[in-house]
This record gives sequence, C-alpha cells and structure tokens, in this order.
Amino acid sequence: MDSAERFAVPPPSPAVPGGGEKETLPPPPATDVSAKKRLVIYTAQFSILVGNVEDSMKELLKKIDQWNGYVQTADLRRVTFRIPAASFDRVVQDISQMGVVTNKQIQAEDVTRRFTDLQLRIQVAETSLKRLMTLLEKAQRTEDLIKIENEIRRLTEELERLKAELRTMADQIAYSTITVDFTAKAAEVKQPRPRRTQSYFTWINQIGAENVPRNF
Amino acid sequence: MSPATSDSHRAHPRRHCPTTPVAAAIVACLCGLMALMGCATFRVPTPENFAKVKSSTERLGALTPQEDKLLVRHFVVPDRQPLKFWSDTVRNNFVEERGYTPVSEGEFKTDAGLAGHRFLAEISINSVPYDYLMVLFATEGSRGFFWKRQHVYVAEFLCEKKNYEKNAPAVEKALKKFVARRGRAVVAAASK
Repeated sequence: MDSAERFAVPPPSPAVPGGGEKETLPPPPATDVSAKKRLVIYTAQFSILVGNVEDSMKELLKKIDQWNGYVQTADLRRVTFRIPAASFDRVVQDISQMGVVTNKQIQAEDVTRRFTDLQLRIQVAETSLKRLMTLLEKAQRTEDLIKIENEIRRLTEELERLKAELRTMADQIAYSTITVDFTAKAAEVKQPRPRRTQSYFTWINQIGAENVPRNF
Repeated sequence: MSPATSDSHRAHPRRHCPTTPVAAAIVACLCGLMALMGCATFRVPTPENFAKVKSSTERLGALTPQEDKLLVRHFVVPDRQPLKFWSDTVRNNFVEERGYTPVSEGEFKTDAGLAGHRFLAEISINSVPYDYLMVLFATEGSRGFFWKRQHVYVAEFLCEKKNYEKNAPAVEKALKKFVARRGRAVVAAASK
C-alpha cells in the first residue's frame, strides 16, 4: 500500500505544530471508511549506536528540517520529532542508516473506527444543539428557558471537547512521531593478553601500564 | 733534677698524625659519593595540575585530581644500545606480548635537545579504556669501568581515555624540560 494512501486526513495546520488552537475542525469526512481508507497513527522509536553522538544529533536535526518535520523535545542524546505521515517510510529508512540500530519499534494504531465515532458524536451533538436553539426561541416559561440553556451549555462544552479530540487525532494521523536515542559506540580496545614470556631485559618487565599503579 | 727529667720537658718534635689528611680525603670522598648518591638521576618539573606524590633519586610519581598517574624512572642497563633498539624492543613487548593497541609513535625531543621516543597506546583495564603514553630516553654510560652501562629513563603517563586530552599536554610540556643527569646525552639529530 502506498504510504500516501494510508492517510485520508491531511494535517490540520502543518505550519503551526499543534495547531489545535484554531477553531476550525480538521477537514471533515475524508474518513470514508466505505472506501476502505484506513486512518492510522504511526509512531517509531529507535536506539542507535553512533561514533559521535553530537555529530549525529546535528545531522538528524538538519534532516528533520529537510523532511518538513519539527522537533517536539530534544536533549543531548535523544530527540522526539514529528514528520508528515506521508514521509514516514522514507524517514524510517534514512534513520536506520545513521548507525548501528540496536532497538527499533514501529507502532501502527488503526483509529478509523474511533475517528468515525467521534465525527458521528459531533454531528449528533450539533444536531441536538440546533434543536435546542430552536426550542429556546420558542420557550415561554422561565423554568423551560433555564433548563434549555443549561442543556445548551452542557452540550456546547461536550461538543468542544469532542472537536478538540478529533483535531488531536487528525494531527496524530497526519504527523507521525519518531523518537531517536543515540548512544556512543564504546571504544574497541584490545584486552592486554597475558605475557607469554618475560623479557630478557628485566627493566622492560618493570614498565608498562600494568606496573604504573604498583609504583604509587 | 736529672737531666733526663728536664729532657722529658723538652718539646718532642710534634708528632705528625699521618691519618689526618687521609681521613680528610676519605671523608671528602664519602661526602662526594653521598652527595652524588643523593642527587636525583634526572630532573623534570611536575606537570601543571599534578601533585608530586613520590620522589626519590630514581623515580618521580605525580597524580592529577582524577588520580591519573605520571611515573618517571631511571634504570641502569648493562648493555649499551642505541635508542632505536630500546624503542623497538619496548614496542615489540607492549604490542606483541601484552596486546597494547598502538595509537601513535615517533621522536620526542627535549628543549635541551635530548633525543627520546614517544609511544602512545590504548589498553583496557577492567573493561575501562585507558591511554598509556610512554617517553623513553637513553644516555650513554660513563667511559672506563662502567663503559658498557647505559642509563635509560622511562616516563609513563596512564589515564582513563576520557582524561587524556585534558592532562596529556601538561605531561608532554613537562617532559620537554626533562634533563638526564647520568651518562652522556645523546643529542637529537635535528639539534646537531
């Protein structure tokens, strides 16, 4: 399956990471389940052995820019970043070539049903809200007005929560999250072999790294 | 009364003590020998950021705050050989017999022009990587009875690999001031 086809929902606002502050909902029902478009959240974790952690970090940060991604968190040897889901396969391949991969975990969570459910609940809530607004206009008794207003308030809050959840999910679908943990390769040093023979020159037997601490 | 008595008062010719100049000479020789024995066989300043913890005529030991060790020692070697012979012998022993991993090797020259040989190797002690730096000097023995003798000076710096860049420059700087006080110095070719 082409990776681009996996994701029916485009990012809510690629230029603004976490653009969930906007009031607009993610473009609706591209979630055409009937068309067999699956909505999947991809995440990956890598542990990589490299010669120089600092250099590898710099290289990765440069690449993240090239992939049109952005850094979520970073410290001296670990970085979590997000990239457009369409680039996920290519990015995973590129990262695998940055050193010796000692651990690699890729998770794919199918959220098609959850996404559709959310959309349905939003539609239902919106419909209910419209109906309540109509009732509010027609209501005459103060008691009814209060009840309807309370219900409208509750429903509005519910609607906002559902929309926020939908936006977050759409963002997770549109942008994959990858964590890379770099570790420096240990210097490969030969173990000193036991001496086969003592040197004829006795003073040579008294020098060397093994003998230095004994002289203190 | 008796002339003999008066004679007894005559001054004897002052008895010359034959031992005085000999004893003085012996004492002087002993003092000289002791002074000579008391002299360090080499002179080297303690590197910056090192504390001198061992000091005798034959050796100097110094430590960094991380307890990386610098040890300089003097050996009297019965058979006189060129510096190259000793550096080849030591390298062969370290690499072939003990399994050190050589990192770099080359000529080392003191400020006074004394020729030395510098050898840097990696080793592992209890799975911890260490750097071992050795600088070897050799001077020719005195002529005459000890003609064949040779004086070898070995400076060794052992530290965890992570500390090498920090402390090795001070060691090399101090070794540039090294002065051998036994034997005739073999001056580096470049300084001739």
